[in-house]
Amino acid sequence: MSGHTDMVLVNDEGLRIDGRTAEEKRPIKIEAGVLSNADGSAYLEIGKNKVLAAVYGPRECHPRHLQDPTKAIIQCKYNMEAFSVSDRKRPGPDRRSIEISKIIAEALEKVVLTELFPRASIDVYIEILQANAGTRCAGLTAASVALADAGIPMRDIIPAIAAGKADDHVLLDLNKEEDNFGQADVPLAIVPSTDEIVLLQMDGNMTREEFDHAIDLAYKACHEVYDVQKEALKKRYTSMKEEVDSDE
Amino acid sequence: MTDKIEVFPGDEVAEEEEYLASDGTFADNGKIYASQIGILELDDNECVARVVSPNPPNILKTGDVVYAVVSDIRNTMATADVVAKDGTTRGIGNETYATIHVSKISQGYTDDVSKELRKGDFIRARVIGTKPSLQLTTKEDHLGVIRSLCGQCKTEFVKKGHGLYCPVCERSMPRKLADDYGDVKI
Repeated sequence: MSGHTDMVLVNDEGLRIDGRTAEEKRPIKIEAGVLSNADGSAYLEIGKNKVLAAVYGPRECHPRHLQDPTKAIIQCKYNMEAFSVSDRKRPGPDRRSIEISKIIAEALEKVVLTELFPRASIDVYIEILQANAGTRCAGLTAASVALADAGIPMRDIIPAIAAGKADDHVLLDLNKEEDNFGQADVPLAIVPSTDEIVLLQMDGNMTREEFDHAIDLAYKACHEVYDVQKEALKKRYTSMKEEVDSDE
Repeated sequence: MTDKIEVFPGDEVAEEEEYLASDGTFADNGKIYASQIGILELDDNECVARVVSPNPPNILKTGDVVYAVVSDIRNTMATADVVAKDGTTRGIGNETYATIHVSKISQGYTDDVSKELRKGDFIRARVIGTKPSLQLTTKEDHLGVIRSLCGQCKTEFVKKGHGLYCPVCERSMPRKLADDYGDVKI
């Protein structure tokens, strides 16, 4: 969004620097239940992004003043590793990661049946191992798979994906170059069963028509991501059943 | 008859006219949806739809056997912090602060809580209520203190008759002991 480049982000044939068309997302891979000490976990790769999500809880909420006697609270921690970007990132929470933690927690609160666990806290940890634009979407996608893996009751699984604009083209799922040198970035997360929006931000400028087009692209892609999420959970469930069978 | 299908959160599983939403499901606008991954069970006898999750949160229910540490002794009750549920490894999902009323400690009559339990004792207990707060009982042979340290020298008490005995301080203490005190693997 900020820099300028002579790089051609979208060529005359409508292809992007990584060979995708404007309406194509990066290849996505999700694996559920990768960590044995967490109650639920997921590992996700989308393009060059690598994300690990872990869920603990519901468990007693500490510090106590954060407890809500009517429902559980969701505490989310989004963290980028020092080695996740090309320059070393100074470790620890910063303004950006605090914001992302907040919006992800709020998105998840909309689907988790928090009223079943008064006073409890559900802790979600998202670690970005490798970043290449679109990590908040990748983090949220992984976190909702981890929540489902932890058996936490929820209305639906949330998929998320970004759309944007670069070189005056509306593009789906921006990569790093398109994000840095493009004109707009619109991350979107939805509840697939009702098509409700639980996360929508916009960085940069777009016309109303471009925005509508971007949202349409992202909606369609979200439903595709949702299928990948379900597939990951199904695989996890089958392997868990085999473990139980072999124990008996 | 029970049907067995794999479901995901958000999947529509039944109509509310036919079934009641139970564990792992929620009702919305006349329909019942799954809220967990697992196997769907439509119980026609009880008219209940439930999803059996392979990895459910650890929520205490009445009847569960739990392990706890006594945190305080009062005149009519003891309080304890529940640390684990028997047979599970996942952390406790709901409140862990529990109370044991003086009448629920032992089978016989108890006039003084401190003759049965002391602060710091590890106990095995059964949940007898979860609302408004967690209540426990140790009124069974298998329930009661499973590990305890001497209040003066912190050596582990050994069982002697119906009470405990410290081999270092050479003093005895009365306790409500579980029948397997001394050989419980924690």
